[in-house]
Amino acid sequence: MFDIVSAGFAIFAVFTVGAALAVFFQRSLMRAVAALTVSFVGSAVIFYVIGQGFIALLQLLVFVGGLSTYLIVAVSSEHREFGSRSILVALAVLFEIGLSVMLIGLQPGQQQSAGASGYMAAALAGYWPLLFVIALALFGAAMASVLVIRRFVRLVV
Amino acid sequence: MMELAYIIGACIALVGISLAAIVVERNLIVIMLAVELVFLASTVALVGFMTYSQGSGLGIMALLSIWAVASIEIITLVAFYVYMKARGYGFDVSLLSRLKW
Repeated sequence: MFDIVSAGFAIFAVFTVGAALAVFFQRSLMRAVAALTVSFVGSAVIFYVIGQGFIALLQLLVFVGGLSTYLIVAVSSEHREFGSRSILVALAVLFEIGLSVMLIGLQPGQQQSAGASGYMAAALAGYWPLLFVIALALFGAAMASVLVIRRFVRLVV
Repeated sequence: MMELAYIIGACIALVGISLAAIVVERNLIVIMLAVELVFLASTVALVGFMTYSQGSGLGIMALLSIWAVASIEIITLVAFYVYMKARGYGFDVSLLSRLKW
């Protein structure tokens, strides 16, 4: 059965995997890291969709807000060379087929529970939308500050 | 209710792309970004299994461990990047022969 949660998950899974693929198709390392950040955001939304809001919030705060900003600032001026991408795409398809074949027959339990993070999430229940907005606003402010710093450095240097 | 197979499928896609990039890429920084994507896929898979099974609390510890290792990898990557950049070295792994046996 394909319900609304599955549809939301499918959209953001495609978004996340597409962003992951974009990491390896960017000539600028800063754009590659930005694509990785988008992939982190997509995974956080996936966590939210499957009912793990607290872990999604932590993913946004730690990876998107902290580590991705750190990476973007560090590699903001680096360019790289790459050749044909067809080998990468062919290998990716090969690995995915291989892994899928290996995992055929996996029959885990289907009972959904609050998970191990449920007790931590209880204290913050009802505040998820506000916390998500705060986390995204912090990330936006960090990215804006990076852009302002880059422009400032170009003006000075 | 959504099936766990969808989550595993997304993780397979992420891991497949990352493994292909690790094999094909020559830029050290991009290889490390691919390793970061493997950590991301493992996180998604772990959270999926935590959600669809009766968790005992060990899952969140494994998740924190993955996050810690991934964070350390990023910090080490940036430190290595700054070190190599300051000394004028490139990031082509085929040219980094100091670690060869």
